[in-house]
Amino acid sequence: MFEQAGAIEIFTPRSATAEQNAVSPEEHLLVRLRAGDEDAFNEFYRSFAPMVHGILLARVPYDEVKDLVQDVFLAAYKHIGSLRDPYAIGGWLAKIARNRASEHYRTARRNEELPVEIEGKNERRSEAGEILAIILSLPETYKETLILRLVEGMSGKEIASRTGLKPESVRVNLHRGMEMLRAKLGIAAGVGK
Amino acid sequence: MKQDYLFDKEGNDAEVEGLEILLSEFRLANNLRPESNVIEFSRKSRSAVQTWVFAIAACVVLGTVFIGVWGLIWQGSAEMPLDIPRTEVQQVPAELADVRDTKTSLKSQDPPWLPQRVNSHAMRISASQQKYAAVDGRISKRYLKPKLTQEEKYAYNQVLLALSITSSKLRLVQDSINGVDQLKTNDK
Repeated sequence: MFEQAGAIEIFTPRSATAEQNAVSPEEHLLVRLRAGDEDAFNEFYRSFAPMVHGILLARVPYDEVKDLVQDVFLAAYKHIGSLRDPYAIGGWLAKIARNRASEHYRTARRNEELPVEIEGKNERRSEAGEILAIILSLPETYKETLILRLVEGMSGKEIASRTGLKPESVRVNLHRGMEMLRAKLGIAAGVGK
Repeated sequence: MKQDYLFDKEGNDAEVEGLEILLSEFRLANNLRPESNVIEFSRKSRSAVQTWVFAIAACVVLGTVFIGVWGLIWQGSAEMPLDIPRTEVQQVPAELADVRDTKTSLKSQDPPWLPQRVNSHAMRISASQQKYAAVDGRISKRYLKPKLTQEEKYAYNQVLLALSITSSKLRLVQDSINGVDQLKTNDK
């Protein structure tokens, strides 16, 4: 199954009966990455940076995400040789991002301030920060999927393709997460009144 | 269906669309420049590694060259008789007195120390040094050794030059002494 969303290609495994002798885009990309091809790295970054950004945003404060995104891709660049399965590159990168976020909390003092506290310059940003804070209060599985969908604008299929999750798992996480978000937004709206 | 839009982005869902617009403030495109940061960092990190590799390789090459040159110079200095100029100059005054007593001309006869010292070190004189050997004409060709290196030749030439200058000065001294003795003899 092949799908294109804008300029982003979704990497999906091809059938074993078709083009068995041809090198898949994922394998070709991995070979080029290992060879140090900068164009391949640019392509790799463009494809997976939204996913990494969303995973980190679900775990660390907003003002620290951009630095950690650099760290994640640098770590991936250095350890690309350890990746054997080219089709697992998304899940491998997601794991690096989650580990980097955990390491960040081990080494730095956790900042309990919400993005709205830091970045709140106007009312619109303040409202977005409040919603983001509510999403961050959800269970980890749901908040990560919701951030990838609502913040980064990725579709369910893109989320599954990038993170290595099954599409049905992503659908369930989105649905349940959205229900919980609606409930909390309703409570928050009731409190605000 | 709302779920369809939430998963596939098909259809419409005002609530989800509103959340997307609101939360787009925190999207990657608003937080980062394009991949230039990471690419530049990786390029710098790679270039830094390459720089270190080249620096280490250059140090190894220079160190090898230096050790080789030092070894050649050390080997050459070990083969050259370094003690010829200084020891012979120090020994000259005492032996000159013997020569003076015998009243022999230095022009016709060489100082006794010179042939001995030359003969004892004649084995070290190479074939390429014949022009210097011909200065005093006492070095036998049968004592010629294999060809010296450029540094060794230069050092040996300098030594012979110093010896010739020293011997010339000593002859002047001896002549002056002989001239005084002749005057004294004539006076008598």
